Amino acid sequence: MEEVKITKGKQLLVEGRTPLIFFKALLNHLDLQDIDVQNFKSNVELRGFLQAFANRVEFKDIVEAYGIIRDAEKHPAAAAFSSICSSIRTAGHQAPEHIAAFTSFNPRIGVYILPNCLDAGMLETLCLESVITTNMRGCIEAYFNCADSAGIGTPTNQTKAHTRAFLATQEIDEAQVGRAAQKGLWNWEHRAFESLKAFLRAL
Amino acid sequence: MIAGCNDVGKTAVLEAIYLLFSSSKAYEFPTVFRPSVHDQQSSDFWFWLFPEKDITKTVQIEIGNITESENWEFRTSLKLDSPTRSLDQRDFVISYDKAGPNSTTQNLGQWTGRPGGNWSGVGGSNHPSMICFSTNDLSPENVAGAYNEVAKFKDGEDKMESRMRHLESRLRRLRYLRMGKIPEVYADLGFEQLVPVTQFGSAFYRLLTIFSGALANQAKILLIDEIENSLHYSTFADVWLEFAKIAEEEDMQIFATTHSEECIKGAHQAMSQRKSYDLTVHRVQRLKDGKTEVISHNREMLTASFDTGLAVR
Repeated sequence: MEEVKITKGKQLLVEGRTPLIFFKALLNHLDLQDIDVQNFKSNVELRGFLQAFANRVEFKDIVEAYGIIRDAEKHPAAAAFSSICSSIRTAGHQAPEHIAAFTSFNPRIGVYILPNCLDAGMLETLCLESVITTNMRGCIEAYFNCADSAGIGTPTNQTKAHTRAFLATQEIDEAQVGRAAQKGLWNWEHRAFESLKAFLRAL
Repeated sequence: MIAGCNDVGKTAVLEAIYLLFSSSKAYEFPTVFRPSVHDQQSSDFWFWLFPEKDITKTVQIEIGNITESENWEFRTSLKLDSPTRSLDQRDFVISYDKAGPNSTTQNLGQWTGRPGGNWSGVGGSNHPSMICFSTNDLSPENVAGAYNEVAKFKDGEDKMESRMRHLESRLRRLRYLRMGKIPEVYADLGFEQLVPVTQFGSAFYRLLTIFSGALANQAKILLIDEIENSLHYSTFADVWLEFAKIAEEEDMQIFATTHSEECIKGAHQAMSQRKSYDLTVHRVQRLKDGKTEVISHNREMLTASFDTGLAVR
């Protein structure tokens, strides 16, 4: 496993390897070169990770701001936001009062809950929204309806399944949103990404 | 466990614990973990125990537990007496106290000595029994002596053999024998003759030394500097399971320094397999302003650190 290195004054903490690859690609697209992206692996590990991470000497020496991004998943964003703020406080920092807004303390801290800081959903929700057309959606839904009727199965995570179905139609080896971001398959200029890009620029 | 970079003060933490509970042999302090300090009365060593060699200060070490059910505190202080006398006429004074409920204080001992001179004093009662292992091995004679003490206890040899079998699966028995002038511990590996343990690898010898020493002294505090020395990474989890068992059976607290991430991982794995997770890793680190701080890692922090590649060592 690659060792975590803190080399820059701004840190973006994300949940898992796919978001790690995705956000590196997005930051590269935005030409935000002064941000390290770190993987805290899973939401249940965030509290332990943040306590250890924020107490590193390198963190205390150079980090001026950090942002945490995770999926809302099945619940509205407020629940995920509350959970992250609890982890931030356990690490000894002042948590932000609002989603997507940075504190003015040192370090400055912001939290963004995907897809849009409001609804349930995930990174895939945002990515798919940036590219999907009415025709595409029709094709993908028809495919899953067909599979369901044939008794092949129904995916439990519709959003991820629909995203993979879309990526199966593209020239990409791994049907993951991170790899797709590296390949430039998402439409970064779509309004779905506006709020997320603003958050990253504010970091 | 105590982790951290070189020269950050890991061994000094062990030395502080030693000073807290060493009222019977305070004068041995300089060489306990630093075999390179040849002269026990080395004045430099003692003077540098004061921050920035400021001998006007008193060094104070405290450990305690103040809760609703318990209220005690051990204190050790080190200072120079008689400020009006010239430096070469002044003595170092090491005082040991135990504080209890209602501000009661019990004096547990005091030693006075001068660099280059002798130490005098009393102490040794009311402190838990402690044993220390530096990075240097004990002599075969000392190890044999400790093993012989263990053999006096009921099931003592069985316990030792069972522990050491984790490192050497061929081991059938361990025996204290005096074949020449010096006694040694010998191992039965199923050969025609028993094999002296000094012929084994250093991992076996070191663990035999530590386990024998701890059990023979009925130690309640075990201090080990660079515990990973001589051990192959693949044995760490097994070795830590044995340390956990011995700590539980003997009601012993173990403090060990390490540079090794794999050793910390092994300890974490071992403790995670047990009913109770009895491990904290204290990472000593130096900040930009030169100050030293300690970050204590609990199970949650260690799990997240290992899963994400955040180094703990």
